Amino acid sequence: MRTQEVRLEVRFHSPYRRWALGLITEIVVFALFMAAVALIALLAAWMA
Amino acid sequence: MWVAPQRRDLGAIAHYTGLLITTVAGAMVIPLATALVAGEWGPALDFALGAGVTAAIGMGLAQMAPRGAYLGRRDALIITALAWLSISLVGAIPLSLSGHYGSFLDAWFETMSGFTTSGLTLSQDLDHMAVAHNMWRHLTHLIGGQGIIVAALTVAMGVRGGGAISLYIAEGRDERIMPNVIHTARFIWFVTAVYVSLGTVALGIANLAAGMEFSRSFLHGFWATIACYDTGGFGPQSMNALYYHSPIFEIVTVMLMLAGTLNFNLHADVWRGDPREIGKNIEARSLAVNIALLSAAVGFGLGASQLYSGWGEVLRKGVYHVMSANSGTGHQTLYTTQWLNGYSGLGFAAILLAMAFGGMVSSTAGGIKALRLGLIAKGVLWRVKQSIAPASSVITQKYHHLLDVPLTSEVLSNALMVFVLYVITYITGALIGAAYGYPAGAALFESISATANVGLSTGITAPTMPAGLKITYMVQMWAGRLEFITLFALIASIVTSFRRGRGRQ
Repeated sequence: MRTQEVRLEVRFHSPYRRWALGLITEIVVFALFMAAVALIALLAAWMA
Repeated sequence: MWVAPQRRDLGAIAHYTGLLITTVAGAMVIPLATALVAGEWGPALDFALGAGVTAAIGMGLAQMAPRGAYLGRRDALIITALAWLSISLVGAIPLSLSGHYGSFLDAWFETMSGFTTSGLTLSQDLDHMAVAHNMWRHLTHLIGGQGIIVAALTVAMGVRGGGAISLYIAEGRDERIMPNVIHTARFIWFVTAVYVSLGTVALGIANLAAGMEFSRSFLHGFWATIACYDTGGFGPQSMNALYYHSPIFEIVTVMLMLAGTLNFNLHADVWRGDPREIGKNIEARSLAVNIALLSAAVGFGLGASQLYSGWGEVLRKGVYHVMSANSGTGHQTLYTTQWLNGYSGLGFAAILLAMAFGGMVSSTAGGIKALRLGLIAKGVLWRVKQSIAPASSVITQKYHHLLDVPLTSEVLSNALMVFVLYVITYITGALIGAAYGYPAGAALFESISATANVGLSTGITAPTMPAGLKITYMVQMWAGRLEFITLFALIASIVTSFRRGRGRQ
């Protein structure tokens, strides 16, 4: 009977490695979101 | 079957509660050092005394069981519920000695509000408070916002028997970011350190540019950053965010509020290089829709009002408060009396809803939480699909929260149960406020603000309010921070212990 070797690799992506890029991404996402929300509020105020 | 805690359990509960209290005594060294650097000798004595008494109580309790005593799931719930009560109690000692609080109850209210990141305040003559006392007020936001259990776990409590994860879950954070709960706690502190450093520098420069003295600029920047990132809401001035009169201050603080209300799991995903999770996540989508709709409502309401119809007012008095309310921060750019005088009815209602809904789970925000609202919306969709499908068909509904998960009746009923408990607490607090003679709208606003740990106020929260209402809001802040079940576990344990005691007689 042949035995077959099965290799299982578990990779853990550390959030520390590219944290600066992640931080910049978050800030850009927050800025874009707030700009969109501000636009919606101003549009609603204008419609009133 | 109700199981009463045994003598051994009580020893473990006292031991770990004592360790948590000792951690708070250690944290009091920061305002003590601040007082010494600032040459504030009276406040230095307040903190030396406060830290000494707190350490003595904490160490005394910790001696009631050996180090590494076994901790069960029920014990973890009780410790967590007791921890928030006891740390706010001992944390009030230095504040009560400051002379800025009418009674010890007022100082206790302040620290309960601080640790639960609510931001409602009973301080008097805040504009002349010592730097050290202000430092402690804001540090309570930092310690409470991160979670007292998370704070203590990072300094290693030596918890045995899987108790660490039980403590972590009992505190209202039911998601692990890293495989190990200690590493999760450290990651939470890492994200916080990055945002607090960045926010302090940004706000410090903004204050400096506005003409504030150098050290005061950065001190105010640090405090405002903690208050916004940890979604607390305290300010070192009685006018709160209105004191700064600065659009740049408001833009930076709104960004910090967003960072604070983001689930730490989403921070981890973005920092791992996967920003797409924010776009797919049910909770992020739910919060985005929530903020957009409520901002539109506030914009429409203010646009039609007499006082705040200009575009600057719509953004700075409208959208700013939606963000402040939805994130659970409570920074306000209005005088408290203006909510009921001149602010539009629609805008007022939208701010009420923003406070009630709250931010994301596993963040520093309070309220019902966007994840539960998203799940309930999906649940409604699921039921509608089922009702129009053929009787023999099996209809499933999925949602995406970190991964694709099938929606189950159990998940849905848990979300609905917490939703109902929040609504009942909001209404109960409003009825008690109204019973004390306050207008119903203002009483509801204040009740939601306390339960959802927001901190916006119509002016009811003041040193002159009745003691009964102060205690009501304290219980609401405590229950809201623990999301009820942990508090119910404490009450059930006390009742069962009492019944057992009576049974023996």
